[in-house]
Amino acid sequence: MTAPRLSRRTVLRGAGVALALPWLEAMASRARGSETLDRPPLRSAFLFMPNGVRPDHWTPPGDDEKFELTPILKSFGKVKDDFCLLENLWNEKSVGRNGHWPKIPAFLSGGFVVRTSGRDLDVGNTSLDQFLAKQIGDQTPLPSLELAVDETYKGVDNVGGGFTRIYGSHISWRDPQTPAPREIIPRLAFDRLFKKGSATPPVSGFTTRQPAVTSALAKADKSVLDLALSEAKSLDRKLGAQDREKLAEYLESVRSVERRIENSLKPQKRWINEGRFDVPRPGPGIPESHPEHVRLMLDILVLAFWTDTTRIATFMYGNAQTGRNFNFLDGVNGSFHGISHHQNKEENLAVYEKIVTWHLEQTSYLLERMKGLDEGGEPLLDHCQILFGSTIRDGNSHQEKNLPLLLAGKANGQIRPGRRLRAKGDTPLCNLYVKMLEHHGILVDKFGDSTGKFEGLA
Amino acid sequence: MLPRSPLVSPFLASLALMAAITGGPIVAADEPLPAASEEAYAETIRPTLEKFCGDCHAPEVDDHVLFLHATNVEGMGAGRSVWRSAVEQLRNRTMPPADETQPSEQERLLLADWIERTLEATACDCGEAAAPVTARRLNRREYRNTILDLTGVDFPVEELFPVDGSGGEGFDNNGETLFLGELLMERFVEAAGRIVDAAIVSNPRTIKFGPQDLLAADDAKEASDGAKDEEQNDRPRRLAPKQEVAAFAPSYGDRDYEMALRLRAPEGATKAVLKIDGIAAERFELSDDDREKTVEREALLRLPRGDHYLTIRCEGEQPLEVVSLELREREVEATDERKARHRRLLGLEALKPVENPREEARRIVRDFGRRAFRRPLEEHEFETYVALFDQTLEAGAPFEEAIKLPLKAMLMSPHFLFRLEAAPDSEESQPIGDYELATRLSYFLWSSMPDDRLLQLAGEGKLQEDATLAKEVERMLDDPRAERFADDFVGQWLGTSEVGARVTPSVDDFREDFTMELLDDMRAEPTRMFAMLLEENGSVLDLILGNWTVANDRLARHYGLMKDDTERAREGKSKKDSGKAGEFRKIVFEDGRRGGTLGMAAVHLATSYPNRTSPVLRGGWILETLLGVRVPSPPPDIPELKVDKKKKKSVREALAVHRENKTCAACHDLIDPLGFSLDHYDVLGRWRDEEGEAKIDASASLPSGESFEGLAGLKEVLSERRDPYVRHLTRKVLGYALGRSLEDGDDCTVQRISQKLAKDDYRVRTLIRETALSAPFRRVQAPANLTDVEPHVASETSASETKAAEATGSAEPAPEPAQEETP
Repeated sequence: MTAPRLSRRTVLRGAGVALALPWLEAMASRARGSETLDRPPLRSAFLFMPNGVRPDHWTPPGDDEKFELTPILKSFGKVKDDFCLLENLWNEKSVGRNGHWPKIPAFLSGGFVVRTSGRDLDVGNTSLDQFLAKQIGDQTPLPSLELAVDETYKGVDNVGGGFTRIYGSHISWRDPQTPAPREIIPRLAFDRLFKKGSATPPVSGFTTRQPAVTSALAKADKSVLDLALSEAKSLDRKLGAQDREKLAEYLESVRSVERRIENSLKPQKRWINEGRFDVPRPGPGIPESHPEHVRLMLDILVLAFWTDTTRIATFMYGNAQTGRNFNFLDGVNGSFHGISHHQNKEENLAVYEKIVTWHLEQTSYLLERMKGLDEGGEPLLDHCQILFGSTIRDGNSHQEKNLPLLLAGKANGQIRPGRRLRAKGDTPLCNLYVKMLEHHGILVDKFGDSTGKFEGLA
Repeated sequence: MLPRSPLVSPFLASLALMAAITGGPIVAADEPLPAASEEAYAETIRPTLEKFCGDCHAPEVDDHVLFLHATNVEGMGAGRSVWRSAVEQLRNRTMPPADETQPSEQERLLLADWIERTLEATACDCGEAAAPVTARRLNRREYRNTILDLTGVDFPVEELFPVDGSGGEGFDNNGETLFLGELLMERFVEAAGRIVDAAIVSNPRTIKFGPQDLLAADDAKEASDGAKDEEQNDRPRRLAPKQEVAAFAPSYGDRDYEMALRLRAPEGATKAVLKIDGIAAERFELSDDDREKTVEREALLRLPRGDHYLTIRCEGEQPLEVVSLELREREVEATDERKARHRRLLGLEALKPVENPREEARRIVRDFGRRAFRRPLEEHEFETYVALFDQTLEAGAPFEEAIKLPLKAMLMSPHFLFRLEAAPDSEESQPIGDYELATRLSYFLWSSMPDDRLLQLAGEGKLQEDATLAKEVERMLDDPRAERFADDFVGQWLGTSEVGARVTPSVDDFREDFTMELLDDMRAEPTRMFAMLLEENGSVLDLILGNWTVANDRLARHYGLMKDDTERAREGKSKKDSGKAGEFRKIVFEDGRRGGTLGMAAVHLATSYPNRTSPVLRGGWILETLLGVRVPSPPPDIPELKVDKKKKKSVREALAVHRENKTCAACHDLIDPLGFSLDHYDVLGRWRDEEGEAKIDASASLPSGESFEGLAGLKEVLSERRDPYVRHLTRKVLGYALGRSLEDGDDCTVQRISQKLAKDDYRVRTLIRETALSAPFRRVQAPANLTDVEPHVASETSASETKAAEATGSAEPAPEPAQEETP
């Protein structure tokens, strides 16, 4: 017999089995008889945009519900009633020293970022998403999802005052010393959503006559991980303080991988959506077109939420000081960072505004996509709280006050969107974070440099 | 002659800064303040510091930050890190706080410069130190190299692992900034599986299920199946509509299977569906013609590692008969290369039965373990890994699959993924372990694991001997793997490793002028030159002063060295089609237009904006990267220089305007001229005589009065500054070798190595050898129980807090931030 060639279709089907495409995953979860939630859970996403916004065109005329969409926000027409424009919030500890690096980790942590080439790496606080992941991350296959489009920047910015560029590449920090790695390759991000550790459990209601067989390989894989864990533990005694930290990180990471295998054998209580929402598996590598890359990552974020694979996600539209050339936009040529230093010249501002507007268009695309997905009779977007923002108001002056921020979604009825919300001058952004945590049922007195709880969202 | 007042003239201050660069005398009437001079400290430095810092840091006010406690130069030695921090803060304008009286830019420079030179002059007063190195995770390229050297598998790390950030001296092997995290651990687990699968050739398996091997869908049906015996296995299994049977099959890796189903339709046309893990994978239709004869249907499917549940279901109106289900694993082609790799790794022939599996496994685990952990396995470790093999073999797995498990486990172990060293138990410096030294050495020069010889020498306890160590360095530098050092070190030091990635010319402006291949060549040029230096044991001065480079034809054409450009144009080939690449070879320049890193396109590109050149970036790069001068960060809210093309003002003219501002001039008088001298090179490093319509003017003069022109002139300027260059290069090599941030205690080592280097005609191998022989590389000591705190955290916070409080108008002082933990 001649071996038939593996057709593209077959491989795809094989991959489908291997990866359990979203709707299959849903079927499988049902078939597995796993418990499901009776109402959709709350999801939180945090989107970061580098290099600030054109400040004089950001704030719209009109107040409260009657605010008008500025040209920058014009793409939000279809979701005007689905977001709040937030004003007068800031991260006080991010002030000064450098226009970019220390402000990026502070975005979600509100902490003071230590100037260092690496030795004393410290961002002052765990970032909000990772804090949240520690509280509720165990309820989903992935505790959280960190997406980005730029590779981690290398080197130390000596001209900029001696900050390692690692600071500018991460908004998610597992603890004040440890950034959470991000995924920038669409296919890997996609696959990660649907991999279930190494074992594939049976899904139909068969009684097995060979129960030993079913989990032999899973057991082997788990014993390998156990071995790694016990080695790391026995090492602990012999190491110095800094090494112990590194080992602790190793232990925690191995445990997470192990948890994923366990979870696949004993599924969590999740929300299962009816119907199909297809995002094709992306091709390998990084798409050449930047818009395509960003769209793919945003689609994957939606998919992760829709399949309830995770309830927490971050996305970085770029690293701090990104010099990406947005020359796919009409009339734009040159480094984004360079252009953001507009010197208040109208011709520069106009180009700057085009780039900023493009980022807002991507964000409104994400919101529209989420609004279009039905989830138990309501749009997915209603079960989300999505924060979009930059860590400086103006790319030219690196202004830290009154950050440009949008908060979209209804957070399961806890936010009344469609409004322009003005806080008292210089309100800590962390006050909002205390409130967002409360939406998840997590009550804290303080987060970062919060001085209270942001009110008026409902 | 000393200035009478601490308020020195800008001219003197510039001279002082230049002295920081030259480290030697300046041709001028006034001498800079002599380093480490008690007189200078007592008469100028301390009074100036007291004036600006005394309010908070006078000894009677502050027992916290110890720098003004020093009553003389010797006293400074007690708090070198405090003084170093003072330099940084002065340069970065983070001290004094914004609401205090500020020193002038000139005073800042004078103070910072004198303190810095004094620290340099007193570096060895306390001898050499050997601080511990943080456990280093293998970074992406080290992982790739190690896997290649360990298993022969060239694993595509770029496809799976995120880029590692860098820190310390600016390299991506810096332990403190190498993180792990769940995402990366998942990838290491996945990679371990893929690597052992690629390294070990396994026999493709075929699993056949006869009618009675198939499980029934539910208990009721199962009961009615009756007794099963071999005879019944010849009779097809009959499935009523909607009925299904199933089978379990393990897949030891992510593999492709041909699934052959032999079916019949006894009562006429019907349908069957094959499900994998409950999900329909393939549907089959049987016609009325298939009543009597058995038909074979096939599906091709990929099964991931794990146990799978295969189901055959009758979906038609009529019953279905299953004769057999066969899973044939598709052979991953066992090429000669794969078989050879298998043999090298396991010491066994691929696809041959193994005689004594348990013995062989013990031999393999011991050998692989020693190489993977870069030291012999301890007995209990050995037992655990062997047990993993035994269990798997007993569970029925073939030898090849069972042996993969302990190897895979080792590739996920912290002993493999991290370079771990025992913590020192004393503040007295002691030699690091023999195997630890072998590992430090191999990752320094090969970015990979130690080879057998290094492990053997370590085992014999010989590696710590000076002569042996020096000999091994020579041997390792002669090995082709040393090219990895050239690649990794030079590209990151010069910042040219990003060329072709983050650093690319603007496509809109240069679409016709470059290809990705050309950028690859550019990136390779500095590392090729360094590799040749290593090979020939040339002078490190050649990197900045040499009249040669190493380039291929494509680069040579790009530089206009090969005269076939016009001919090629006549042949109708575009400029972009740069023809054959050719071999990299040494090229000597007689005209002084190129030679050394400063004549390289990669450097020109890395120090330009995507669409135009920048004398500031280039000047700053020379100071920072070649001479190790910390160029102060620009004061906040300085707009980027914009060249208005319409007004035809050249960059040079725009910068001249810029320097009329005295604050700017303090640094730019120094930065810009160095950059001007490289103006003949465009963004892509091509020679130009005009920019637009303006003629290039590459002449420049420094505040010291030195005038020079072009690259040749720049080289003369630099040849006067070889000491700071050599010192800086030494710092970089030491920082790379150690994979940690350098500390005060390393100052002395840097000084000693650079002095030896200078005495030995700047031969590059001397630099490498002395680094390997140095105290911090071979020894370790517990950190002293420091009582003084790192000052810059607290003080910086207070600076920004003050600023913040000011901004908010809040009367209440912001809370003090938590103190940093003292190490």
